[in-house]
Amino acid sequence: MRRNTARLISTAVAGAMMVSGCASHLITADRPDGSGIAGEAYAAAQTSIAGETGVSSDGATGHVASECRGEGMTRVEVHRNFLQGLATVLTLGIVSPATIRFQCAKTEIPEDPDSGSSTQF
Amino acid sequence: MSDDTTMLSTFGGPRPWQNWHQTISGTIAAVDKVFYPPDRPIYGSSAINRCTRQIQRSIASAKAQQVEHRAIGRGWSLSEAPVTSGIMLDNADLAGKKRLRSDQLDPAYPGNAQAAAGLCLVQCGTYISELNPWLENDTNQLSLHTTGAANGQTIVGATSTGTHGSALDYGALHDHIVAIHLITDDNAQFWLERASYPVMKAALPQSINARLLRDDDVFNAVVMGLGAFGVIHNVVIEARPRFLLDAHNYDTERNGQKLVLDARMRNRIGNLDFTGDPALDPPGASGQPYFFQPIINPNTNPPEVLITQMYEKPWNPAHQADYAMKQGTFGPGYDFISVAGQALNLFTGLVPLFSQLVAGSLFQLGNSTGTWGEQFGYKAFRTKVASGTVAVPLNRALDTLDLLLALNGTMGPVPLVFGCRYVRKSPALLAFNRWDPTFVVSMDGVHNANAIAFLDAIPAQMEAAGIPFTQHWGKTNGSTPQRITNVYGNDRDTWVAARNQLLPSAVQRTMFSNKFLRDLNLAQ
Repeated sequence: MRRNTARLISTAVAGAMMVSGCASHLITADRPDGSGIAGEAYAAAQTSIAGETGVSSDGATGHVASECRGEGMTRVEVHRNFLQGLATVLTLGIVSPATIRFQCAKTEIPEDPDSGSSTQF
Repeated sequence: MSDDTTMLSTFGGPRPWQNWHQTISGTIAAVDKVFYPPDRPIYGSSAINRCTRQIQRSIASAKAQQVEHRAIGRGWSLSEAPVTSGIMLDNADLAGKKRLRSDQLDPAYPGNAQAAAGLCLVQCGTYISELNPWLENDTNQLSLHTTGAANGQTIVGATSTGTHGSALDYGALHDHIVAIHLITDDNAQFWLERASYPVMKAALPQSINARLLRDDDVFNAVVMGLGAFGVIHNVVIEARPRFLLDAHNYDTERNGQKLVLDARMRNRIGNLDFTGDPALDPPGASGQPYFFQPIINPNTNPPEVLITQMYEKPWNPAHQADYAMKQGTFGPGYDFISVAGQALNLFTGLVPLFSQLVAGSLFQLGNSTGTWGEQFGYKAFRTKVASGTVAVPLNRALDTLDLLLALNGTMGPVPLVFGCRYVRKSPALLAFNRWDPTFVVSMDGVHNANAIAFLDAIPAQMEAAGIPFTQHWGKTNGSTPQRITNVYGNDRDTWVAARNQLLPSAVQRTMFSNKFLRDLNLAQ
């Protein structure tokens, strides 16, 4: 009986691990190509812990104003690797870590077709 | 606040760095990120001078620390070309673009009226994904002649490593460039043009404090310069009038038979014969296309072929361009390809099945009409891929394909497909589109040990077969000093001489070198 239970649990855990393995989720703006640091997106590891902010489980939040200098974000990826997924499964979702990568919109540069002269760009 | 406070941010190190495709990594001393002036001036001489100052401050910092300095594009290269141990300069925010005026051109400019109307000044950090919609809009009504298959690179990053497409009557992306604004030191900058192709009045370079130098050899060195000459801040490109591409992606002949690498297909691929066998054309279209790309799956018998054939069509005023990123077939869990690559190392028997699955999923059959920028759009995947390229004269195309198929038979099956592309010869000294036309085979697919071993084995096989070849500087390649000397000959020496002319001091040459250049004996 105990052996069967152990087998059942291990099978369930293995199945859950497979389901919650590596995954990436991508949300983009209309023009998804922003900038980060040297071609790489800004990245932040965040962990949501149930109960950390009362009964809500959305304890992990981020503020990106400094990175994006007041511009918007163009591309947000939420990535969960195997270990992050495993932590979520083993804690029944109480602890839910993920890595969030984002890019910032580039500076909007105004245009004036009449600008410049025969001696200046 | 002053520009020095707001326009240059340093992200200290040492810090790890990885390319977009997650195949190359290194440790860099720091990243200097230059921002466009925060008061958002019109892109012109004054704004350029303010940005130049910050780039030169970054160079001065590298000099003071006695470390390398390297401008990064978007980090799309799969080779180690962008990697540095020193300061990496991120210029992605420098994305100014403007048309040039006829009264700014040198009277000796040899281009015709159409070419003159296509002259645009573009700042180094401009992504191809930004440049296409800007060129193609109703105000400018222009287009690039060619690009790579996707649009994420910066204009200078892509051109500095030789990015190309498969336009049958045009060269590589760097062949758009007719003038270069190059910063070679914390107090030195040049405006480079070909002596045989003057573009701007001398007053224009003077307005940005750049020394005008017209020299064919120097220009042809820097235009595909691997980041070895300093920081390219601005370029002038010659765009063409906008147009539409009528694209056909198909895998069957007109009679419904699967396209395979048979004698008729070999004739089309090896001789670009578009008159002999119309059954190979898509329904309703024939004649020489603007763009031709057969993709060969080496893991079927006989090898199956997918074709993209695009025909040039005049602009239709009713056309509404849509540049939005298309939903990927693999959906949100696109890490699947990376995971599968490891699995295929262990279960090579699954490679043929997987090759068909990937080819079918990534190659969308059907027709579409759109601008250049719509046809070559965003790449959703940021996943680990394998990619290598060999380029040969067209008359050795079939020998090369046979060699690669045989090698796959010996070493494989490898989880790669062979994309065939065609590029006209470039005047750039180290351009790998050296022949007219150049036949290029891009081997793209899943990154695993078998795929990399296959790519690594190719150069020795090509040498043994006596096929002259070059390799893409920005992809996995087996370049060595000897191989570069063998194929580029005097052009390689002229390139090095131009570098010594523009960077006269050893301090400059060391600062703008990296391991990639030193290993290839190009950093003398």
